[in-house]
Amino acid sequence: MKIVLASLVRAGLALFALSAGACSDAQGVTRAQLLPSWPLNLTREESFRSVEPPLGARRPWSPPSVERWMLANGLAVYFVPRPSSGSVRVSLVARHAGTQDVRDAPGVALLAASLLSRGTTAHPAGAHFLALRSLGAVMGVDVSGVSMEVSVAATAAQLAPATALLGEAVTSPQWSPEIFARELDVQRDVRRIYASRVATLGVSLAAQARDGAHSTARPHTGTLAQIGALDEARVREFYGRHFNALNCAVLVVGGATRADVEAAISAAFARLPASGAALEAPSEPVSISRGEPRWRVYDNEDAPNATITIAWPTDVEGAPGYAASRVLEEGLGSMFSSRLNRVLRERFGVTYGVQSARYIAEERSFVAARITVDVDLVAVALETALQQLGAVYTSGFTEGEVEAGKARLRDEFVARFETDDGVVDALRALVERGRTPEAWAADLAAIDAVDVAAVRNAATRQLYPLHIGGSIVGALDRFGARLRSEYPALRWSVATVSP
Amino acid sequence: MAVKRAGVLAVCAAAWLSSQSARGQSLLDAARAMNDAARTQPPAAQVVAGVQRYSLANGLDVVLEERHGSPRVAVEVDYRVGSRDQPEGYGGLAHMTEHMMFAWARHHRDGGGAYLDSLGVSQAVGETHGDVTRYGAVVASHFLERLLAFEADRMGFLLSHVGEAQLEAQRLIVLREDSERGEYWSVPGMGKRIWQTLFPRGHPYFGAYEDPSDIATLSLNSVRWFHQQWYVPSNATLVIVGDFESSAVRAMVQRYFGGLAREPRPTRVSQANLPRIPTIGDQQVIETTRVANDRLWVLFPTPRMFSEGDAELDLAALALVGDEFAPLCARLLRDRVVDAVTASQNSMELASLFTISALVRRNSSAEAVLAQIDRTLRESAEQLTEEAVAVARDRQIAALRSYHSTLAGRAFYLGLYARTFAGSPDLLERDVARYRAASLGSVRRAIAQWLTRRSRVVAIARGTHNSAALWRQARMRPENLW
Repeated sequence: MKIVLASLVRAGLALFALSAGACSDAQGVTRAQLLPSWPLNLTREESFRSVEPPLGARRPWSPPSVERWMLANGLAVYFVPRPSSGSVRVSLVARHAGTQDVRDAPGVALLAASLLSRGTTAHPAGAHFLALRSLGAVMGVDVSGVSMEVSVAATAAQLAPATALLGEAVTSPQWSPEIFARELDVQRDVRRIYASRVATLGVSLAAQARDGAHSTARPHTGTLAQIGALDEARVREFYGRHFNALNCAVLVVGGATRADVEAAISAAFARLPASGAALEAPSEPVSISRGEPRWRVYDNEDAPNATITIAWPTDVEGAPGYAASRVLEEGLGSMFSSRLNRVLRERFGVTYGVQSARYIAEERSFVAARITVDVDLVAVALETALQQLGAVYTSGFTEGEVEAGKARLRDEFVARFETDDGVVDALRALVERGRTPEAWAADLAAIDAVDVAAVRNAATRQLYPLHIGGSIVGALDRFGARLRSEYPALRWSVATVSP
Repeated sequence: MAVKRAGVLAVCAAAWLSSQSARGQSLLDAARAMNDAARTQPPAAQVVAGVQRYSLANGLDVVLEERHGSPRVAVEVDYRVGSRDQPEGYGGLAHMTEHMMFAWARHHRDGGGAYLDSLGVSQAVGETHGDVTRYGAVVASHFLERLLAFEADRMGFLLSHVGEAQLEAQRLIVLREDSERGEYWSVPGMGKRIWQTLFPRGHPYFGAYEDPSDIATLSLNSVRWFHQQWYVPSNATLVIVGDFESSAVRAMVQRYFGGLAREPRPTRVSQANLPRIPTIGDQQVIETTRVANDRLWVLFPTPRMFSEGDAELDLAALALVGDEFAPLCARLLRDRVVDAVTASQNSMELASLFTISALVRRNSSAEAVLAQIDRTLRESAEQLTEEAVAVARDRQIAALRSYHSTLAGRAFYLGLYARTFAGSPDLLERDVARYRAASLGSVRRAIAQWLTRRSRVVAIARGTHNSAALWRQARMRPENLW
């Protein structure tokens, strides 16, 4: 019996070696079979590991203190010293610049901001850029849905000359038909590139599906046609209306002293006109007449994958439900364990990861969750994603999900105060909303106060089908028809938009 | 017949497992004995400029730096293993193993990613590179002990807890990642062709690629084998930077990592035994892809990380494309032949790659852009100015200091320095000095020596769509969006 068994084992080993020793792929590359040793883990299990370690004591933290003063022309200055930083960032923020223009002349804000970096009367054209470069300084412009920012980052030692060059750019920009024409060309390119990027196109289509003709559905950058219709006088008028001392604020963060900052800012911005007025946030009624989510499907043969974008409303900083909204966003689309990632990534493996981002405007701010999938899997992914949103709308989050979202939000909140840029962003958000730095502590406390019920309320407000818009961008030839015929359970109207 | 064969295999598999168990038991006993001894031996630390470095008895390299001010801690675990360590035919095994490290957590039924979420981690990374696989996370300080326990768990116990279901889920995710991440890795087959053209057979980087067909057939056993070979304490560096007290954290490290089995550090091919990277001439790799724009990459083999010429090529990249007045940007954007252009020195431990990439405009071609790149490089080797190099140097040093100013960036660099520079990990100033020492002459020489047609790969992903039709379509988008 023993002999028989030994023979069997030997025969088996030979067969095993044949089957498991090596294999070849289609190209004929020999691939050695990799077999682990046994046992798999050499480390002995110890009983203490089966108990989750205790939480340490939460360490006290408070937001940085902000020094505030006002120049004679009424320009507000916010300064956060960060002695450990060897650099400094100075930003001038103009309120409401992003949205006001949308109503009148979309794209004018971005055009005006870009023109500010194209030379000054003292340093025409490239001379301004080269002067900054010689200081090791970098100038940046940014236009959001809410404000416009023109900034300079430099080493702390170059605070005064770099701020002077920023002040020049803001108070005495060089205007000329040639510069204007060249900038228009650049801006046309920018929009053409935006249009070729599925991410930006998908978000715009989703916003358009959600808000129709409302200004928030129109990109504040303007379209090719809209910026083509702008003239220099219109841009100058916009600049004059927004870049006055009462509508602007200066933010300074970094390794500088109060005295140095006061001197640099006074010298650079005293010439900013005191005339004009602080602008009011615009308001435009939105009319929602359909009771179901709305979609745009865009057949884009240039996309190797399909991208589904789902947009739903969110609250902005300072709003009563803000913290709960953010926890909802984290739990839906951001974290590994968020509802969309858990199912679409971890369970089905149809996407590398759901990416969600917030698009903040004066009104109708929204979150857009972007899901990139193989074109053939669009319908499955879309249906699953909408089921997940629906489940949250009807049944809310668990306590574990809420606590994870809160912990992450707290971490993000604190993290942004660790860099010059993060602090500037936090200050800019205050200025945009007319809030004071004291609000930071209240915001942090609001995160701690979020509970399951608050998130449920946020879900009820924000995931109601009426508010949801979405887009599908990809090589989706005949997809609309397929979706309607093969997935009748989807109630949403899917329109194929043909070029 | 099929049933009979399966039965025989079952018998032999049991026998094989039994023999392996016997081998494993003796290893296990030895490992446990050493672990017990290790628990009673607190290691001494080397302290330089506030950075502590010491090793546990099992070989784990530990680097600690207290930074108070923000109540957060960055934890970085770097394993000295990367895609260069994949056996032939296993393109993607290193990446798959990295993904499996997120598939299990002892204290969360939904796995490691979900557990990190529960700790409020807002910056979690797992990255597979050619030389190293890194896991980084930043948490609030009061979650630190949980994070350390999690890292120790997945270093020491992962393999007993993951199975086929997790492998299949991660396989799909890795394949999706390759499809979505852009660059030449998204063009099927292109990454493999590039790397196998640049490096000779026998060089570790020859196999440092990902291949979807390899990934599709990876087994759980191969992942287990890879983890067993490389994910051992003696092959890892644990870096902790942030708001903590060293004495308490050293005790935590000892508690969670000190008991992990001591195993020998796996050997890798040494620099001295590397096959020489030959001069390959001006090679082309061309693939077609279903997009409209051509994509172009020009890859030059260059000196390895921290060796002579590496810092100069970092500065060359900045001097060439650092801003709109930089020569490569100025020429390609002025002539409106690209929508975007980048250049970077991708520094690696055995050899580096200087890469110029361009998104070619639809009214141009990859060949036209390549001609402009060649012309710019030729001219730059002679005409680059002192001021351009000075600006590049300032920006490089400022960026380096900026990374070091964040917890995650500092932890990353302390891990990198511990792995690659001898001695203390706190070598920021030594790194900065490399850039300060670079001169106009040395940057010009580096460009002339390395960025030439004598040895490079030009990779073109040819857009196969009708560019003219797509351009018309772009202008006719719904409501003329954008």
